[in-house]
Amino acid sequence: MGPGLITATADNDSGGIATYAVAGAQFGYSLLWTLIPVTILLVYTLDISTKLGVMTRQGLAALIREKFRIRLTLMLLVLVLLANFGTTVSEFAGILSSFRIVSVDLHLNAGKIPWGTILETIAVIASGVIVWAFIVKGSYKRVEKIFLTLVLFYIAYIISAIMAKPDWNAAMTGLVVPTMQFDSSYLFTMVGLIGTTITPWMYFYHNATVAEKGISEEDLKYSRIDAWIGSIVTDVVAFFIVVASAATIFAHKLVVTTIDDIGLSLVPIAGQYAGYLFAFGLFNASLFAAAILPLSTAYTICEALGWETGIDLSFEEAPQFYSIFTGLIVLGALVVLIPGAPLLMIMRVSQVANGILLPIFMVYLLLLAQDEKLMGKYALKGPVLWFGWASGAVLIVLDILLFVAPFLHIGG
Amino acid sequence: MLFLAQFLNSEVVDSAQQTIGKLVDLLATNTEAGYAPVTAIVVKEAGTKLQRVIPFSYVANLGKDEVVLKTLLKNIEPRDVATNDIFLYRDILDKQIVDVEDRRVVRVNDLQFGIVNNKPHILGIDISTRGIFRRIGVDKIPPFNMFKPKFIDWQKVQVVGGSLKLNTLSKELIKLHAADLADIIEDLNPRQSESIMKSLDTDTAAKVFEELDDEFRHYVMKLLDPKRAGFILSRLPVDELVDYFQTIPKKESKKLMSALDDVKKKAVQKFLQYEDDTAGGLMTTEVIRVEPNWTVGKAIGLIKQVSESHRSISFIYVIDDDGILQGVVSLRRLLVNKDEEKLKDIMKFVDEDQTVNVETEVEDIAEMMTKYNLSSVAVMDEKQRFLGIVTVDDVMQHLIPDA
Repeated sequence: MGPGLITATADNDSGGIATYAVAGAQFGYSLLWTLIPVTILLVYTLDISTKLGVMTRQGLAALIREKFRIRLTLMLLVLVLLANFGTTVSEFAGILSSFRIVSVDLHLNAGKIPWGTILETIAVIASGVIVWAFIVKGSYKRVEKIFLTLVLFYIAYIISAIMAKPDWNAAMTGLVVPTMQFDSSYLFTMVGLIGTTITPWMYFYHNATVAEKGISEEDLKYSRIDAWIGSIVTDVVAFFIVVASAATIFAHKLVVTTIDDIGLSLVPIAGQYAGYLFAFGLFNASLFAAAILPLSTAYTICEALGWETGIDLSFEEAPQFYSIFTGLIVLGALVVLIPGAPLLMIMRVSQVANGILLPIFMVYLLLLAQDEKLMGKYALKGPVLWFGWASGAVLIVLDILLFVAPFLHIGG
Repeated sequence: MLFLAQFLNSEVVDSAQQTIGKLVDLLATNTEAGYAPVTAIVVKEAGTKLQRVIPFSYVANLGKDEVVLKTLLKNIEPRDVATNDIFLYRDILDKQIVDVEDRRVVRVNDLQFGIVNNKPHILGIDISTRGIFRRIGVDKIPPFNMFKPKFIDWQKVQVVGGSLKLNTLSKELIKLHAADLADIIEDLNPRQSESIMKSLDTDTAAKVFEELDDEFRHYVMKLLDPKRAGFILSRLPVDELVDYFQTIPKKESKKLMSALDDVKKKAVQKFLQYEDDTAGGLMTTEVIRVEPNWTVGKAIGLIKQVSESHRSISFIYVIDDDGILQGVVSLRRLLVNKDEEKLKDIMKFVDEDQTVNVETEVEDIAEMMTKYNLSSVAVMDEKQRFLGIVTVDDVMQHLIPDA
C-alpha cells in the first residue's frame, strides 16, 4: 500500500471534512449520491496520475513544463501557490477548530484567564513546529509510515456516524437515488463537495510520490489498485461524515455554519465522545494535510522551475525549496492566529484560485494522458478519453455556475 | 549577449522584405567537443502547418525582432534534418540536461549564444531564475532584474534524449564516478536513463548498476534488452547479485539467473538462503585465497593475474587444506618482504574473537569493526571454515542505504 492511499487520505482534509459535514447538516442525505460520480472521477484521475508517474518517472509539474512550456506553467504555478496557501491556512484553521470544540465544550474560557484561547494558540503553534520538524528532520520513509498509521484514525468518523444512530435506509436511498435541487446553496454545496475531493494539489503530490518510487511497468497494476482503493476509501469516509451530521444536525433542524458548530452540535445529540471523536478526526486530518500541502507545493514549484528539491539537501543547496514550504507553514499558522487577519478573504481568494485551477488542471492532465510519447501504450484513447473530456466539461460548467450563481440569485 | 528566448517567434523576412513566417526553432549540430554551431533555422509559415528548415548560410541578420534572409524565398533550398541535429526549442529548452561538472541534472531555462569564427554557437545554458523571467520578457524590469543569470558552459553539459542518438557520451560524463552517474540516471526520465545505460560500456554500466538505489535497479534492468541486462549481471560480483536478487520477486530472479555461469549461479543460490542483515547476507566471497606454503612472489603473481575481477584488494587470506583460516597478509607486508619469504612466516594470525559467523547481525559486526579498528572481518561457518569477508563498505551500505 502506498501513494494512492496516502494521497486519498490527505484529501479528506479540514476543508473536506467541513464541506461534507455542512452538506449533511444542511441537506441531510440528499447530496450523498454525488459521492458516487465523484468517486468514479477520483478513481479515473488518480489512475491517470499513477500511469503518468510510472511511465514518465517525472512529476506532473515537470511534465507540464516540458509540454506546455514556461508561460502556461508559470500561470499554473501562481494559481497553485495561491490555492495551496489558502488550503494550508484552512488546515491550520482546522487544527484551531478541533481544539475549540473541546475548549468550548469544557467552558475553558469561562474563568478570568481565557484558558481555551491559550490552549488553541499553543496547539496551532505547536502543530506548525511539529509539521516543519516532520518535514525537515524526518526521512520521507518514516514520515510516510506515520501517515499510514494515521489513516487508521479515520475510523473515528465511522464510529461517530454509528453513534449518531442514523436512518440507514434513508442514507442508502440518498446514496443511490440522484436528486436535484435548483437553488444556489444546494449547487454551492454540491460544487464544493466535488471541489474539495478533486483538488489539483493532490495529483501533484500523488504523481510525484509514484514517480519517485521507480515502479516498473510490470508493477503498474499494483500502483493502480492502490490508487483505486485510496479513492474509494476517501469517499467511504466522506459518506460517514455526511451521515454523521445528517443524522444529528439535519435531523434536529439545527442551523450551523462552521465546523466548530458541527462538532459541538454532536455533543448534546450523540454524546460527548462523538463530538470529541469528531474533533480528534479533524485535528488528525488537518495536521496530516498541513504537512503534505506545503511540501507538495514546494516540490511542484521547484520541479517546474528547475530549482533543487529534496529534504536531503541543505538550505544552502535548495534555498527556494526550503523557503517555500517554511513560508507556507509560518504564514499559514500566523494568519489563523492573528486576530483580525483577513482569514475569510484569504479563504475566498484560495477558493477562487482553486475554482479556476481545477478545470485548467483537468485539461492539462488529459492532454498529458493522451500523449503517446509520454504514456506509450497506456495513452488514453477512445471512450475512456471521451469520458475524461466529458467530465472535464461538466466540471467547467459547474464551475461557471458557481461563479455566476451569486450574480443571478438562482433560487434566492 | 544573445539568447534563444529573444529569437523565438521573431518574424522571418526574405531579401525583398516579404514575410515568410515565424522562427519556431533553431537547429544546432551536436559536436563531440567544443561549442555547437547553429546550422539552420526552422520557420513556420503563418496560417499553415508548414515548417521550413532553412540553412543558416541564408541568414543575413539574426535580430531580436526580425530575422532577415539573404535572398528571396524561391531561391532557398531547404535542407533535411540530420541525425546529429539538435532542435534547440523542441529538445533542449525547458528539458532536463546533465550538468557534468556539478554532477547533477538541471532544467534549461534559456540558451546563450555567441559568435565563434563568425558563426553563432551555443555557448551555455541558463538555469537561473533570471532565465525564466527573460522567457516571459520581464527580465529587465525591477524587481525581476535583481536575479543574476547563471550559465553552464555548453562543453560541460551532456544532452540526453530528444531525437538525438547518443552515439558517444561526453568523455567528461564517462569519467564521473559510478555513484554520481547512478544519481544522474535516477533523476532522468526513462528514455534518457535508458539511453545513457545503453551508451555506457558494459563494465561501467555494471558499476553504475551497483550504485543505483534498490528500487531503481530492477527498474533500470527492465529498460534494457535481455541480452545487455545479462551482460551487466554477469559482470556483477556475487554479493551485489545476491543483494539485487533479494529485492526482486523469485520468478524474476530465476529468469535473470540464467544469464550467469554455473559457478556464479551456485554461489548466488547459496547466499540467497542468508538473511540480508547478517554476515552471511552481507559478505563477499570474492577474496584472494592462498596457501601457507606459498611464497610472497607466488602470491603477488596471483594478485596480478586475478586483480581484474576484484573490486579492491587489501588483504589476502591464508587458508589451509581443511579450509581453516590461518592468517591474513596485507598488501603492505607483501611489498616489504622478499619474494622467497613464505606466507606462513609473515602472515598475521586472526584472533577468533575478531571473526564472525554467517548469522552474526550487522549491528554486532559494526560494533566489532569499531572496537578492533577493522576494515573487514572474516566470516566462518559452524566448523570454523573460512567463507568470505564483510567489509566496512558492506556494513555502511546496509546501515545508510540512501547515501
